[in-house]
Amino acid sequence: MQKSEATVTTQSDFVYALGASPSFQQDGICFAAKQSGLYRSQDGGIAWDYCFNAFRTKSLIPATAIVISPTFDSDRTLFVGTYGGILNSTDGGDSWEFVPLPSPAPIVTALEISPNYHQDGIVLAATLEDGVFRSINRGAGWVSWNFGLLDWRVHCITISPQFAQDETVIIGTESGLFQSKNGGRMWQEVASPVIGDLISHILLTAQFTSHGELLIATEDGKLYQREKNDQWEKLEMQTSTEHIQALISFPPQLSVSNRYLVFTETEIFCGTDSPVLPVKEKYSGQDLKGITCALAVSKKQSSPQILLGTIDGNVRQILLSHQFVELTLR
Amino acid sequence: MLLPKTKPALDTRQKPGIVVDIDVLYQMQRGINQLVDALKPTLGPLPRLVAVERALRTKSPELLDSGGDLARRIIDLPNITENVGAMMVRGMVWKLHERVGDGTVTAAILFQSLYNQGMTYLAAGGNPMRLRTALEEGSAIIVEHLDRMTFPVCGENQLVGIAMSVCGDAQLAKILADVFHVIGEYGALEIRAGQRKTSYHEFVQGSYWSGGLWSSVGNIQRVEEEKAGILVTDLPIEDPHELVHALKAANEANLNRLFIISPQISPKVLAIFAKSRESDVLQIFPVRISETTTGLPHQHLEDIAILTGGQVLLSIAGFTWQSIKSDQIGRARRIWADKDYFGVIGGNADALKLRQQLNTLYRSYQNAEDQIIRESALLRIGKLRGGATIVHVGGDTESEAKYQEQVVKRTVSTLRAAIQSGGLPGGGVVLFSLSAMMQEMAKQTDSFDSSAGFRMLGVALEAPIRMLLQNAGIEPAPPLRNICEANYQVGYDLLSDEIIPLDKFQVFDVADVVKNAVQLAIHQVGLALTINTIIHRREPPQMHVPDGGGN
Repeated sequence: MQKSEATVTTQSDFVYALGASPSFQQDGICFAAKQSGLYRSQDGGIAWDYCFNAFRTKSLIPATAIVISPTFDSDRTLFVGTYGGILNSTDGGDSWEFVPLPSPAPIVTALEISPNYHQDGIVLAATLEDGVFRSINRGAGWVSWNFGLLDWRVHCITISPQFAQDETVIIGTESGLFQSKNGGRMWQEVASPVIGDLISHILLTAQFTSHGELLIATEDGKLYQREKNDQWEKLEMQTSTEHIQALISFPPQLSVSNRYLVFTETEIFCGTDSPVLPVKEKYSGQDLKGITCALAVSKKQSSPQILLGTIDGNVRQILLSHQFVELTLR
Repeated sequence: MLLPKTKPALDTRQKPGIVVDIDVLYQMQRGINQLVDALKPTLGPLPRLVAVERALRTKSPELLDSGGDLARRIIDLPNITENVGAMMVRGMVWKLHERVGDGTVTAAILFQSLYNQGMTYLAAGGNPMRLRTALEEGSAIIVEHLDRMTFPVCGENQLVGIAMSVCGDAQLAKILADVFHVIGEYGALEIRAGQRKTSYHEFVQGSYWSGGLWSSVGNIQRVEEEKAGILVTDLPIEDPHELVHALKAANEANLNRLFIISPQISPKVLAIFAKSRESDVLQIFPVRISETTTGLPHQHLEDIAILTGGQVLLSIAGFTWQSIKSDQIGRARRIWADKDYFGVIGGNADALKLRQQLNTLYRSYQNAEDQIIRESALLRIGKLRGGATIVHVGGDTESEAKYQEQVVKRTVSTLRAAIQSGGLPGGGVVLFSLSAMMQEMAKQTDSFDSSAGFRMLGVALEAPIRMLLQNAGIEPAPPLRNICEANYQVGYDLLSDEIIPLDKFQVFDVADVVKNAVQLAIHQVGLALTINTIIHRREPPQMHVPDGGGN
């Protein structure tokens, strides 16, 4: 990763999460939330600026999670999780407001934003020990809502594309999967084969709205798919028991929208959810190491573009050819 | 009360009298009608209240609009045979009230209608046993149809509709619907007397128990500590030296804030704890819990230990202060206590152990017949699931506040039942639609008795909606005609005085309540109609409780 300014760096920087403008193809704006703070690129991920220069502190301000407003083009809003609170910016990352979460300082593991944010102003934050916090006023205030949540160690959170209608939120905890059907105020455990396992990633497939289909990955590298009628199937990957670092899918307008990608630290797998097939295609390369997170940014039919965060603090780009038979590392 | 093992002796004045045959039924009928007529005005969202005089007549009367509570207050009618009929209805109403908490007046109206029609049938020479069989047959058919029509209750609008059907107060219905939208069927809910004129609610993070700080912990009103430890035990602390191992364990666990729950702490030890608040090394807060009315104290101790990932140290299990280890101390993100309560937020529970405990309690709640066991299980489930709601009930006067509290309790019970068992379109429209079905079945059956039974059920099922309309001051015939013409696909909203298609109808009943009301009323009336003889006691026998008996 290149940096255009002198910034705080550490020996072992780590990319926790990536975020991109909904108009990435036009504006090229993307963000990398790292152990050393938040970085922004305005040229599609080539050059990066440190976003926390405004904070006059010698200590690091880790950025552990990020979420971008679905209407970023107009409101320039993004939220970044950090130790003990949540930062929000309404000018694309130039200036920040810190809103603390109740003490003892929680560690924010993931953020989600309502697809209807411009109207409802809802943002949700998952934390490592304090459950879920919910803001209904565009991040100005956060309230803990953990009714029915049996495990407050939350590692991932995802929100239904039809949130405005179904108010569904799903979270993965250290011991299972929980779902809320009232916008994150009350939680109920989802019956699944992974009760007792740490859920590290959740992916709602294109069929989630109609059939409740979703994928979950566990910390120990297992991948499960929930199909119609709440039936679960374990998806076999031809790999060692590497940790799964990311799951991504593609927008419904793409012909590959029924496909998803599974990222381990060194490999990428492709799967399809209709019909259910085991993950079978595998990519690897000598430069593909230490993947920590991934984000699909391109909506181009021909070559979906993906950003990858790595354990050493870099952000790489890959282009997948049509039907994902080849990948190009940039 | 423990009953004596030997039967109480009856003196000659208590020899039973016998009242025989048709006279029994007519007198019982009068008693039934008297009681049901007293309950009828309370049906529906626009009820009238019944004022019950208090024993001390200078006090303001008790205001009731619940059939269950009202029936409970009516304990005797002057005519002893009429009283037998009234007490049959009273028993049924109270049983229903205990079982599902609502539907009592509907059941009473069904009972009355069926009994009165049954009297005509018997007077015409019908056989009561055959009629009873036909009624039971019809009951099974009705319940089967109700099962088919039941839908799951979800969403705030449906909850508001159900709450409105019980409390008839839009603001209260909205509050309670919001509460249940968040806490769900098993959530913890406490009803407290409020300080305002209107009712309001608050959500509380984490779980809390009655009890709180030991009174002699300095002048502290409330403490809240982060990343604190908690030692849960029923061992008393008499001597400061007993604590040596506990302090060592806390030190090993790197704790500098420790709450100790103990039922008995000597003043000397309390003084040392108070002094510990000046220390940066380890501050100790003594706490007690007093949930004695809703479960055994050790059950709550066990729950606290599970929630915080510790272990409850019970004397009966052989634990002593000398055997304490650091891994037996629970932890939480925050622990608080004041003079009256003690609470845990973000306990360090082993998630699997927590689930196991919850599953045990779910089974207990679902299977227990005893209401106290069920309530205790529900309370513990709510605390273990985390999060609680307090509804503060307001009112201008003591009578109004108490009345409001009863209304809230009843509505809460109904909402819980609705989430558990599902809902049905309310306002009497469902039973009215089944009334037409039963009339049709009466025409099609060849059996005289079955036909009579079904016809009677057809008429009875129409009675609740008629009474609802009458209580709202509406002449029943036109709306009923409109509902018939719309093939029962509309409901009548009494509050807005409008006929509304069922898919937009926001008035709901609890499925379990409706089914139980129908089943119980039909079953009880079947029994009542087969009564032929009553044996009265001229004076009710007095139970001779032996000295020291009872508890």
